[in-house]
Amino acid sequence: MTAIAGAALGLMAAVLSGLAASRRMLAGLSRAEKAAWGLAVGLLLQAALCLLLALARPGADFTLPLAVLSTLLILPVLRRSSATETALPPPSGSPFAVKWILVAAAAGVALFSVVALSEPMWVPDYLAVWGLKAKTIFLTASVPGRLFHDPETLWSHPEYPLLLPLDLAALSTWARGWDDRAPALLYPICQAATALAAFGFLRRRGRAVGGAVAAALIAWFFPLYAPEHVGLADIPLALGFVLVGTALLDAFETDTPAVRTRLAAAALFCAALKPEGSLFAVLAALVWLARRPRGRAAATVAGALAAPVFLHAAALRLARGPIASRDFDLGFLQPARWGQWLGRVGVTVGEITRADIAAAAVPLAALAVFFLVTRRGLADPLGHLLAGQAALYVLAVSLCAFGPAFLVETAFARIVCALFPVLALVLGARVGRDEALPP
Amino acid sequence: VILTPHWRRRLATACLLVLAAWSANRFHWRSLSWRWPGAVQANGLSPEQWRAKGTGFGFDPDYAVFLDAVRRATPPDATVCVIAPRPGTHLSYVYQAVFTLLPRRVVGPGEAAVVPFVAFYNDDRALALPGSSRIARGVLIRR
Repeated sequence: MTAIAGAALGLMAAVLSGLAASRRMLAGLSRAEKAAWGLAVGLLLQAALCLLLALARPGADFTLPLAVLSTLLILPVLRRSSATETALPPPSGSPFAVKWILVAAAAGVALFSVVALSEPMWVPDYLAVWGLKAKTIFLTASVPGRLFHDPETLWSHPEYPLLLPLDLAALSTWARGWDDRAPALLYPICQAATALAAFGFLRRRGRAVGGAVAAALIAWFFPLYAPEHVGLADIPLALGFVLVGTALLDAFETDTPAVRTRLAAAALFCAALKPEGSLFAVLAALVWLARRPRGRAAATVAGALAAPVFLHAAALRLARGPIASRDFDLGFLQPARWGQWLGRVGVTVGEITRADIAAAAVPLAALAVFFLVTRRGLADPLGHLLAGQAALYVLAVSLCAFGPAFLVETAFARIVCALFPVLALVLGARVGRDEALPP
Repeated sequence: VILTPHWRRRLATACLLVLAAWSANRFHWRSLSWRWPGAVQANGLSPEQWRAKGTGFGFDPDYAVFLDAVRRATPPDATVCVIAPRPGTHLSYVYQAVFTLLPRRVVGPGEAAVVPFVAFYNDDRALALPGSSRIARGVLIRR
């Protein structure tokens, strides 16, 4: 069995175990959404198994235990394969158009698959952060303290969470050896899952064409699905953002235990990937508090979003002790330095305008016109979430200890690109009225 | 200007097409010619050999040869000091050394006096030091 086939088997095991574990919370969702949620929950489970085995039997090969435990998790899916599918509203608009737009989306995924699998992962942030931790966990079959406290690797972001490194280590276990290429299969799979989540959600809400448009926009968004992002956390994080977004939109409709569980699972997925994920989940909770329908309880939905973030942060803090981020100078937040900070915010905005907004002027103008000529859509509340997240990115960049220009140059465009799939969901919902498209 | 619903729809579609075209234009279409074989064919290289020939060592392909020699010459639980004496050395030298030599611990020049292995990249002057031996593209000192 080749390493790629092993990684594919691992991802399949992840999806099936995720589906088995989240059967109740996925009741009523479309098949496309279930596949996306299955992947996200499955990745959480694979990472949890990997962590459990690394802690329980440090130094021991966990290939067999991982395979056995994954199979045990999958069994419920095999036993209940005859479960009834939820009836979806009949697709409006032209099924022919939907089919061809989805074919275009699949072509985007195929193109990125070629890019992702064409060579071993090599990006500096993969070598210095994600791959470094994953390879250390895999080769030592443990989570050694040096991942967090080695003064020689302070640049490896020891404060970052470990979901992605654990998943890359688990996929290498399935591939039967450390391999910098095979686990890259995760990235086009995440791209496909993100497109499926957006399509499935809008399809379930009777916006089949809009869903297909959102899926195609996501799959062809090559500023995100780029070779320099393979090996990093931003592509899986984009999936987490869309899952939080769709679950939040469901919460605006109805507050059920299934919706709250989905919110909690998506928030945990985001928080366990990257600090931006925690920020997104907390902001989603604030959007809920600010815009929830009249008469709806505030605490349940907000709690489902925020609790996993804080519990995850507390668990990390307990497990590895305090770790200060060296990237940000929070001293600027002291009242005595507000003047300096404001100046830095100005510099940040200027740098972003010069470096990023100028380069994306055409699509930004197209977006502005699109919002002017289309009617409000069901996903519009996510616009507040996106705006808040982007604004906080600007403020975070202004606090950069190495100067705002450094983060604008190295990270800002990438982390903003990870928000695009949620924006595509908003766009798709606006063209969701199928008559909005020309014949 | 008042747009009819018909023209609003057309304009919205045009905006989405502009967005999609801009996104698609960011794809490196020309790279497909060399990426396609890598994605679909087995090339007979080990993972380490493939990594050494990939984009990650594009800044200095000889460095991959050196790190592979260090990897072969040191035990997995060793602590190794890697010294890559290049003016304006960029961080890729450090990142590649730490990543490639895992699970060994890699330290910087500051600890060269206290660790059991010190590897010099492209610097034969180290051959004059006790315990030194030549490895591919460099010198390794064992204590």
